[in-house]
Amino acid sequence: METLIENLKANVDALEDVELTAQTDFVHLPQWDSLALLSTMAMIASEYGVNIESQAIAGCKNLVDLETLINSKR
Amino acid sequence: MQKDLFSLEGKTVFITGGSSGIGEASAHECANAGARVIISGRNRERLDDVLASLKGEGHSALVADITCDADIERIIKELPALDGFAHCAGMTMNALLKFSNWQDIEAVLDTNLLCTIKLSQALIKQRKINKGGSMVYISSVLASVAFPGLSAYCASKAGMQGFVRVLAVEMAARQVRANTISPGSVQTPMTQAASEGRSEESIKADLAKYPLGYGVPQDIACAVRYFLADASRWVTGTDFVIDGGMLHYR
Ligand SMILES: NC(=O)c1ccc[n+]([C@@H]2O[C@H](COP(=O)([O-])OP(=O)(O)OC[C@H]3O[C@@H](n4cnc5c(N)ncnc54)[C@H](OP(=O)(O)O)[C@@H]3O)[C@@H](O)[C@H]2O)c1
Repeated sequence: METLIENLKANVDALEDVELTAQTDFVHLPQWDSLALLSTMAMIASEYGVNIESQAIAGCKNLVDLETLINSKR
Repeated sequence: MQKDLFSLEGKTVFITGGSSGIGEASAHECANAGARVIISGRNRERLDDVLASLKGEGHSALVADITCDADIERIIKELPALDGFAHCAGMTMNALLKFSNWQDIEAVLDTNLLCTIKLSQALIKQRKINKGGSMVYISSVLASVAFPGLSAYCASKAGMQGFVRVLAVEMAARQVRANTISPGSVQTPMTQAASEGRSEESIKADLAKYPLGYGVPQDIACAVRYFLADASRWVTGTDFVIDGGMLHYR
């Protein structure tokens, strides 16, 4: 989880200053927008080598869900 | 006392092409406005001459060829966090397309467009531009004017505008602005070299297209200062034509 949070902060400008934990409902943060979504998808593709659809990310309740989603594709 | 929105006091700005013409004038303008200025170019002597004449303290120079990947990598490491980036390095080549060799065309597109993108990408990947910072690029009015002999140059400057418009949107999450300035003909070593070998008549005919005559580097430097200052806080993704009235004159 720590690495995922680090990767998000380093690559998604909108999340750079947001305090993120495993339980953060990131898709409902005020900072979350279409560009944050695109950056997150690109980060996952380059850091984890998997492609995740935008709808699947939109369905995540928190970062635990996102991590599970990434791991399920690897 | 009200804050001077045009001041660059406390800001660190990086100016490519700072050793000559528009970049040199921009370095002076920014230093006069209180910025700490870092200039770059390929020629150490010319950089040192400009550096020695800048007002204020703490300025520096980085020798780098922007078409060289290793140089970009090195300057990105050496640069501090920046509040402003003014990209003034560029080149031109004048030949009708039929008579242009591919090497020259590539050199223009590489220097003016591809390396602009490469350097910008390196700056943003390393988060060298502080939040609330500003990036300004010298395009050209020739991005939207058909000037025979400058097809590669015009394409490179039009490409730069397209690139910067997208950059502006992608950088907005960090409150970083990105804009282009499109000068008409400004008296610099670049235009001096370009006019060599041209007839008196064609030079006169070109000058006649400018209701306010040709510009001087300071005319563009003032706009660079504006784009790097807090005065342009709400300006991004735009192009500012400064051309003495040429573009719309018939
Ligand atoms: N003057 C005009 O009328 C006019 C009009 C519209 C747009 N512009 C644009 O304004 C910008 C500045 O033009 P200028 O007239 O001021 O030209 P200039 O006097 O010839 O200055 C060009 C600057 O770019 C630097 N440079 C060139 N190639 C470089 C490279 N490969 N790596 C690093 N630095 C490089 C030069 O330094 P070194 O040679 O030492 O590397 C110099 O400092 C250019 O992008 C030009 O296209 C000019």
